[in-house]
Amino acid sequence: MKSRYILIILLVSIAAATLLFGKKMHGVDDNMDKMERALTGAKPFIAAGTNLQLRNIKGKNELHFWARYQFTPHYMSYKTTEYDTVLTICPILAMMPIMAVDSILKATGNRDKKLLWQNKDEEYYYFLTCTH
Amino acid sequence: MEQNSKYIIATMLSVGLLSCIYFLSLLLPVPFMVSILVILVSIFFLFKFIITTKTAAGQSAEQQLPWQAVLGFGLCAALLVKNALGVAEKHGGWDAWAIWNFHAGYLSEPVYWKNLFRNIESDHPDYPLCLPSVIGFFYRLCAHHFTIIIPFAFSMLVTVSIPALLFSEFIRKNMVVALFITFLFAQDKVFLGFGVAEYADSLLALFLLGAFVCIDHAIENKRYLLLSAACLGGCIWTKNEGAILAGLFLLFNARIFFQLKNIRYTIGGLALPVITLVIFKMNAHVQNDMVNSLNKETINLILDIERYKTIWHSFTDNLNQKFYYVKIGVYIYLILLLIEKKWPDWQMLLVFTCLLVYNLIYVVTTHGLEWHLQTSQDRLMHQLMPAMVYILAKKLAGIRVSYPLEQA
Repeated sequence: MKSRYILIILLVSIAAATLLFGKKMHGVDDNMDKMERALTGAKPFIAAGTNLQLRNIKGKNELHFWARYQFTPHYMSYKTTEYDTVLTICPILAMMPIMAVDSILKATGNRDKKLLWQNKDEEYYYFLTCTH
Repeated sequence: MEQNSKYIIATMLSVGLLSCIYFLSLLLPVPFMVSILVILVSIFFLFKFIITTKTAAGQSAEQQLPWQAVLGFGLCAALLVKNALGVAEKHGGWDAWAIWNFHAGYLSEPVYWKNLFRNIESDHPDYPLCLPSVIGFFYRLCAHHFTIIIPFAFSMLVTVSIPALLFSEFIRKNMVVALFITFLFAQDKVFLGFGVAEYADSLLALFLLGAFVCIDHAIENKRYLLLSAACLGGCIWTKNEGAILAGLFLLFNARIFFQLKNIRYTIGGLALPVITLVIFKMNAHVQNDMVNSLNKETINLILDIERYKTIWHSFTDNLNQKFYYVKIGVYIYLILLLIEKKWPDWQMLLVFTCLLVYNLIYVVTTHGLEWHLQTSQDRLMHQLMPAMVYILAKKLAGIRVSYPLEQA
């Protein structure tokens, strides 16, 4: 048999693996997907080149990784406080679920900030705020 | 060199070429259509250069293989796909979404991509960009669709190419050895796990293996010396530790690479990736955290015997649990050397030295030693594993190892 069959098998196996992977992962929903769904609505409010500050209230460290992944190519920092646009992620369990949005904003350090966008899922509140 | 090996080497070097050109096109900046054109033309000439390279007498372009070999390879490929799918995660492993695919996201954006270099919190913007550039290029080409599929498909290409290159190199020399090592890789869920985790370690392992394969063929044609150097360039442009591997490889083969009549091949192969890396480092302005952490305390770390014991225990645990067949292979290799009353060949000494240097880095780490070992030692061993299997398989297949250009 011609040796090029090896290359054909190689290409077929990569194509088959990719197709099967796509099919298998179609129904999988992990933390990255949840974050993507939660933050999709915030993207139109962020101008090109905006630097973001992340305020991660008692959340997992991974939240920073997942959030900044969604907002590339923006720069997102959780250490600095110098950026005007702030994304706050706050676990719902840590809050009173019945609190008004204004109270939650105050409790998460967003007093007197302009609320650009908000969202919540089964685990977290998400707020995008700025000063002006 | 086998025709199939040439195609695999050409594909992996095309990856390196694409990556360098795309990164440089972002810096200049060049319109995307122009960079696509330059990449396509460059890859065309690279393939032409490699495929038309003359090989040893008696090897024709149209080569035949026994049907058992093709069938065996097909079955191993099916097993590999099945096992790889079993260990694959949707967004890859931690480092995939925290580092490699994250960096790719930046490199897919022509305007604000340099924000990548500002991510000094929980990130490593100093990591070379071979893998992210390729993924970023395809993200951009597909207009940010298929962002889950692209890194996986690329990781499969790299993962399958490793056993395929080994198979191709051994099938005419010893069919049993060729099929056996292909099967070992296909059933190895640790190897496949690292592969489909979408990390850069498997790509680095492939480049290193390519460097070994190419230098062994340098006796047929000196163009392979250039290709070996280009593979080392690929190592350097893939991961920081790739520079260690490339440096040791060049050192062990200095009498070949730096011979006056060969030096143009060496420079020709290394030039583009090294220039790209230097330009990248100048733009990144970020030093490696390991290098930064070296200070007066380092000497105390070096003198602490307990650290060596911890590293050794972790190494043997990894060897026993994740690389057991390599361990058995090394034992067989050493027994054969004892019987033949010979010393290990230079290639094996080179891999052992790489392993030693890798482990010595842990001695001076200022990160928590156990954490550092737990998170990276097995990946470093994985980078060296295909090259080590290649060397062990050559011994088993009865292929003499020597300085390839001695007879030239």
